[in-house]
Amino acid sequence: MSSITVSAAATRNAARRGNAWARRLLILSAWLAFALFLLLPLYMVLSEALKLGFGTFFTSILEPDALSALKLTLIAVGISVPLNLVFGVSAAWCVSKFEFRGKSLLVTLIDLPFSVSPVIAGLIYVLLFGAQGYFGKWLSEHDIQIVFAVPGIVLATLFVTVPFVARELIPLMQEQGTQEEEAARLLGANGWQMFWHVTLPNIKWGLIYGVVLCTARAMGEFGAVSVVSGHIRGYTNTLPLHVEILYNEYNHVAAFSVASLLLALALIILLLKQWSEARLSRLKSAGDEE
Amino acid sequence: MSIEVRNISKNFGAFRALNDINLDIHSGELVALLGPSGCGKTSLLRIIAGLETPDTGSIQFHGEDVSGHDVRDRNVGFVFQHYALFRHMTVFDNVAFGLRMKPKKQRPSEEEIAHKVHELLNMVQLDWLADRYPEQLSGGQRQRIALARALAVQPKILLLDEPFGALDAKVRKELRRWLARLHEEINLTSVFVTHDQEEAMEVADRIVVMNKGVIEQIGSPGEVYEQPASDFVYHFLGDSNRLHLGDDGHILFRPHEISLSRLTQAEHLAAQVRDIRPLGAITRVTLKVEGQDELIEAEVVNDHASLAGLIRGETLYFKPRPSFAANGH
Repeated sequence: MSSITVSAAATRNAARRGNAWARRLLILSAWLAFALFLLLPLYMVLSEALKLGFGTFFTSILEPDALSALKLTLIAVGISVPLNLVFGVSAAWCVSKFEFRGKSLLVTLIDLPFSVSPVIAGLIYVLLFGAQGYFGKWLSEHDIQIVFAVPGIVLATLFVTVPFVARELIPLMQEQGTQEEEAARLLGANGWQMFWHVTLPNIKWGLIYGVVLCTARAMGEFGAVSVVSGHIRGYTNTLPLHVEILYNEYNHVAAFSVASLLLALALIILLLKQWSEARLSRLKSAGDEE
Repeated sequence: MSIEVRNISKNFGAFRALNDINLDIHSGELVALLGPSGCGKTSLLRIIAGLETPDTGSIQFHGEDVSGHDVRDRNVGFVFQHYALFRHMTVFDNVAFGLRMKPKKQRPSEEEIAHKVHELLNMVQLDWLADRYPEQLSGGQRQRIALARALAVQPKILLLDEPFGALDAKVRKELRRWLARLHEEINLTSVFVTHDQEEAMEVADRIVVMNKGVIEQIGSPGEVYEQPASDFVYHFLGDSNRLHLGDDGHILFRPHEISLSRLTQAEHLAAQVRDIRPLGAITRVTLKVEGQDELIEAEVVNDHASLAGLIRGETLYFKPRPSFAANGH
């Protein structure tokens, strides 16, 4: 009996020793990959940007074309993210709380922008709204410009970012079921009260996460926007497009300086996410301790 | 407030969940809807609450047709099997929810709400948990909070869907006695769904036995147990034995409806003892009768003469004494 226990313990220890090595190896390789593929490029971007000193760095960033690219990027993000927020919540609500015909088709369609190449997404808008496109004539008659202008860029950004919020919320809401909503209705809450007091607080984590991902994607989108933008400097260039133009002009320092601006935006978003998560969990644990 | 269920039918696709149900629940009654899973009892409860719409038929509260009324306007309290407490709200906020959702004109002040919530929490004996979150409570505590929350809006009717189904055996027993006492105090018309016959027998004034979308029998616990309307009701409301009499005939009897003896007696059959289980006040003896695979279970008092020194493999003589004459063919 005791020998069995001893040998079992020995096997367990051996397994743990083996595990410890495997664990260290895995952690090390994860760090190496992280350093190689994420930290090194980050370092490269910053060091290239600052190669000629802070003076050149700020000149490149504060140059009017760069500022207008920044403005356009923020406009595209500012319009597409709130719209996606509304769309994502409504789509996830529909899919998870109701049974209806064509539900799986809707879920598949939400995923479409993930599987379609962004370039094709851009081309679709050119074919639809471009001068030679289906609505091109009508649009030019009414003096509305979509392609090679701000609306096209917003549309293209919207298209590629559609799945983010909905995809994040659907599994979460499906898992949570409908009982809390039913309880709210039984207690006399109207639709809006039910959504605001019960559904929204339950999905806020997923929602914040989805919005963060959506914002990051909207800022960084290149392919679709590139097709519809027309690359008019100072007018229809977003930050990623501006970086490409500068790079193609062998203006590496300026390109990397603007790239680091994009990077800074990304870091701000990450910090926002971290801050909101920490705040939420602190609120919760404060409530727990009372 | 009484509930009248009139000709209710409900289909889910090709599945017939409810088939022309008629039921009268009197004011102040505590009624159990009892049946196996899939018998339609939960669908019926949800239809009464307004959470589901029936295909045909109507629901009346005290003679008033509420079929067209939205869930919000029916003023029913509902308790879910898995509690459905708002997970991001404290116990206090959960109980206060219904009061806070009232239209501004009818909404009580925050002081009145606090007073009412503490009153309810005291009633369910959990006032000390007011600031906790649902995930910090045990199952039994959660269900009592769910009940307090449902009662906060002073419903005219209380509906409970398998309220003790997710709890462990001991808590379940305590809680259902507590519910029966509470019902005596507040005397609110209540309907609860259960698949546990013991629970229905112990708590309800009347039991509605359901099977495959129809009502098999409605009656007091004594009536459905002692005068079952069908074989289904008989089997469902307690353990039963079947003794084959040859020529496809058989008799049904409960484990305690039996006479046991160590010696041969008139009309008694011989059987081999397979198992002996002392269960507190009674002992259960499992018997194997020649010529049938189904075992017979006999329950007799602990100090019964036939049990003295009894061991497995011995032969006992038994005679069924059924009180219910449902001798099938």
